[in-house]
Amino acid sequence: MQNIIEIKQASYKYEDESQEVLHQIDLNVKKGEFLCVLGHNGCGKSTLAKLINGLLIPTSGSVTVCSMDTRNEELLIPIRSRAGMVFQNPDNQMVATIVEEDVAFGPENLGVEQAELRQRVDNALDAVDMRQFALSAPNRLSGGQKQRIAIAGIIAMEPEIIIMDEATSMLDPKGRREVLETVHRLNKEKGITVVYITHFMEETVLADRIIVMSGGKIEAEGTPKEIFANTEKINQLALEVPPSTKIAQKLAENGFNVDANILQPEELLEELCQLV
Amino acid sequence: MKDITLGQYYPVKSPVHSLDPRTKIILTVLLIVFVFISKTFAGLGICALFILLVDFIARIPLKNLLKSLKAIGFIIFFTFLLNLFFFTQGNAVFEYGIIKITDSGITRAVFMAIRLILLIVGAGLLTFTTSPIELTDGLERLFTPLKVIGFPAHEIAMMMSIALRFIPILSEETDKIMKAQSARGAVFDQGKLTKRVKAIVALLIPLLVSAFHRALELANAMEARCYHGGEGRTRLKVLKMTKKDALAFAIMGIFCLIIVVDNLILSKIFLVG
Ligand SMILES: Nc1ncnc2c1ncn2[C@@H]1O[C@H](COP(=O)(O)OP(=O)(O)O)[C@@H](O)[C@H]1O
Ligand SMILES: [Mg+2]
Repeated sequence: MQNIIEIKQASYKYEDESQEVLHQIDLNVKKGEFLCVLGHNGCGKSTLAKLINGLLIPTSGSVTVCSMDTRNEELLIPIRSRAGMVFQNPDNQMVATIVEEDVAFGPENLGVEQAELRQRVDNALDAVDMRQFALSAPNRLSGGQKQRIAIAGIIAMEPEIIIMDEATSMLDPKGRREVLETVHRLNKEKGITVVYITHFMEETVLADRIIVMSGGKIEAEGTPKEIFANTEKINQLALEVPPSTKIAQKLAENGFNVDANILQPEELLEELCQLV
Repeated sequence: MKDITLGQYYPVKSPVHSLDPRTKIILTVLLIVFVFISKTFAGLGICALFILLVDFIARIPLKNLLKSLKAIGFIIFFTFLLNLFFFTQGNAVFEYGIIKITDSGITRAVFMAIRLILLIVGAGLLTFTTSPIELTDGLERLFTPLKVIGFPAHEIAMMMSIALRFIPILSEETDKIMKAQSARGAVFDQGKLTKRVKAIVALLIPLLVSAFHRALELANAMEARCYHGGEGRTRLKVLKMTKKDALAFAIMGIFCLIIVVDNLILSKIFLVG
């Protein structure tokens, strides 16, 4: 399959700062992939995300999205319409005072004609299951609902990639589940490539691939099973494995016959049932 | 979550509410102009009747409409007094030292007060029947032709709508910070002035910092969603004038005609001021 995002030797240094934040990152993302990016606060995840949709341009190296180089200023609008981004704070990314007008903001900027605009907004609201809130005020919605509206705002631009930059970190568990389910569904049903940045380990278990970042570098890469099996590396990066994996690992250490590589509560349940 | 209402929009369904905001803005300007040029009490009476009629059609309780006068009651009273004491033509009805009140002074003061009240209430009809968002939309569309002379119609409308979006958020945040500061012993509404000023500063600074932070994030989010100014931008909501708007213009036309006729004929008989 073809790479939809190609990052080659990309480094980034903020102006007025002495230190580089990202060091020669190499990363390819395949079309339709669900990629999770894990890492501690300040390790450069948001900077990486902003490189992908051209909000920042690498100080050296290159970032190519849908075969468009972000260094080419004329391509920035098409790049951003291909790679939509959902941010952390739900309140600070809504522009309009009515839900459907906020969803329309992106395609309005792209100059989409009114009849098609209407269609796109309705479809996008359906895609995140928020049609009934089309005429509500954003202030009335829960955090999870606001983030789903933000996702709809991206969907309405008909993107190929959605970048979620810790979009669930300010939400309650219910909101987090809503949002995570929504992006997984969009990934499966519409084939949208997802770059999902988080520091919640348990949100990554269904990913196709995880990269773990630390200090502006990619420190580990692999499927969720591979990543979480490498307990040493995880501990070294001071990350925490998902709760189900932790229990299974403890059980295995203590001589029980369970698979220590499981990730989800359901799998744990199965393992436990098979014990009795 | 707290629900603050902005302005004085009175959300009911009525023929006036459903008019195009541009129609309402233009008609309100016309109404204000014609209240201004009415020269007779009869003219003002017609204006008052017209406003009452619109208010009735818009299904706004008169009580609410009159409430908008409260805020500027003082100004009305002050203009009344000014006209009463400083208009010295006509026959004196009361004299005491330098104070002289004349009959035409009284008439004029009353006339001016009524005119002011009608102006405020007339303009109020617009804000009562049009939500702030519709108003913003209407103003943007009306001012768009001025873009050719460099008037930033889109930018101003964008700022207005972002302000509308963030006012409830920031007001809630103010509340939160106030509570947090109160918990640490800050007092906002009593004590010495210096102490109160200190408390307010302790409130304003975190609020300002947060507002800037939000602004930066919002700018990023807008840019990420391909915002690049008003050029080439389409809109989901298009304003459309309908038969109703034509009818509203026609009714306004008749009203204006009556005022003109009144000014030409009746003002010869009962000229005021
Ligand atoms: N606008 C900025 N100017 C200067 N330094 C920044 C800016 N944004 C982030 N940084 C710094 O870059 C580093 C990486 O930040 P970021 O990419 O936001 O990390 P993460 O999203 O993983 O928490 C941090 O050390 C942070 O302080
Ligand atoms: Mg971040």
